[in-house]
Amino acid sequence: MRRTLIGCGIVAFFATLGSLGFALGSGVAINISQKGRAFLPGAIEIAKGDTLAIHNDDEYIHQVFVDNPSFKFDSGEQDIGQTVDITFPASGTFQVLCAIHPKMRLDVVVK
Amino acid sequence: MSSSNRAYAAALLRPLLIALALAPAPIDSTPVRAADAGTSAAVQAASLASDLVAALDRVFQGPHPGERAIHTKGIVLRGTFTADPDAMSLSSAEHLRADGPPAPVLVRFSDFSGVPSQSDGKPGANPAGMAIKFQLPGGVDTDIVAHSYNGFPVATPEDFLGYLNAVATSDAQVRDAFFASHPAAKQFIDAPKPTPVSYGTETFYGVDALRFVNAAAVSRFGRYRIEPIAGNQFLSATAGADIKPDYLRDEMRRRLAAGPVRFRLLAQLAAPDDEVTDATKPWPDNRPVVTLGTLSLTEIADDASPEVKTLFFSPMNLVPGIDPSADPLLAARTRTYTISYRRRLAGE
Repeated sequence: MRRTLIGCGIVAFFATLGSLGFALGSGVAINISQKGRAFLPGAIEIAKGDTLAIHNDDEYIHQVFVDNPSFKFDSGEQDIGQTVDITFPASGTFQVLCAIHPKMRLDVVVK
Repeated sequence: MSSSNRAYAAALLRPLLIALALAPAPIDSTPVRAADAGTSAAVQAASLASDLVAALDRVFQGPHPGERAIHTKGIVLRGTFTADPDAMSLSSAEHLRADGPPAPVLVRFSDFSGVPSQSDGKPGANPAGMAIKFQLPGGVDTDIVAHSYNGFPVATPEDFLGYLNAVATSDAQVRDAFFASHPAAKQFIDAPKPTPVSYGTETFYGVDALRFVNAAAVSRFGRYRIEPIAGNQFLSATAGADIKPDYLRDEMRRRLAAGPVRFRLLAQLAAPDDEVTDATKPWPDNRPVVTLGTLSLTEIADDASPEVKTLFFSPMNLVPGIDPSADPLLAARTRTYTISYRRRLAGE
């Protein structure tokens, strides 16, 4: 399974969260954190079939969504402590956003 | 759609706008896996939000490039919020601490419809909207979204779409069937919606319940009520029909020249058996009310400023001390607003 992470601090991030990783479906689960009204990391490259496990480590509720012509997703309310799983059905470039906090953005490249 | 149908549609839509502004969501402190990508629920929720915006466009002949899908015409004011000592008994939220400094606020008043040229005295202008953004230290903000009708015409996002479709349709049988089966929507349509003397002379309501939590972790469900200190004052039907299209902006400019426009922010508390997930059901007037503080609005903000042009309000933009309820409109309204917001910024 090929998986490349983009951005400084990714190694440290996964060293911290690696113990939280888990497999979902046929791909690999990749942990993303929400903290301080931001996605951490803010950009990532994954393989088709991998799952983003987006964990709300914040003190605010969030609402994760994707609005791409080939893929639409809306988590609804994501409470503090909740995890939202997103498996992208196709290769391409996607933006994962928060409906409540417009400045939150996670760029995802699915190879 | 004819002009008479547009006016009728605008009147029908008024409550929807309000409801979109103020719905909360469920609370669950237990970490759970919220949704799997590709599950029908997540995909359907995304599609429903898009459908709601498309339905608003049909009702208001949109999209109007660079404009909101609903509550399009508005005015933004700057001011401050000073918390009342009683507020801390209800919530530990930072802006509700009476021992802190006043919080800067941005407040947007708006006519109801999604028509940019909406005339303030014509059908479609009311109920008006009032959205408040409290600007807290560290770049954090929190919002209230309210309108001038105590309730919402429907209880669920699906019914909201049905409502919009009923308003937009030219099929009288379809429209009549919807309102016959949704009495709250019918009541909303039939309710008087007088033109206010000023945005500063009518009461606004947060139609969705929120859960307020104080420092001792004691929680109560409540709904916002925002009362004008100048009192409720409305124009007669004749006077309202004769005002200029931008009367409310001009009136506010004159009013601010004489001093701040002030509102009292209140929270009406639910009794144990009161419905907290259905925005069509206002609570009885005898429920206790807690004074949260006072809004003092002092100037009109520049519509061309980046801060105003990128202004976005969500009823779920909350801070610790205020949690959502399980009202199903909350998430749908937020996503609908988000679609409109991103389209507006893109000039679409």
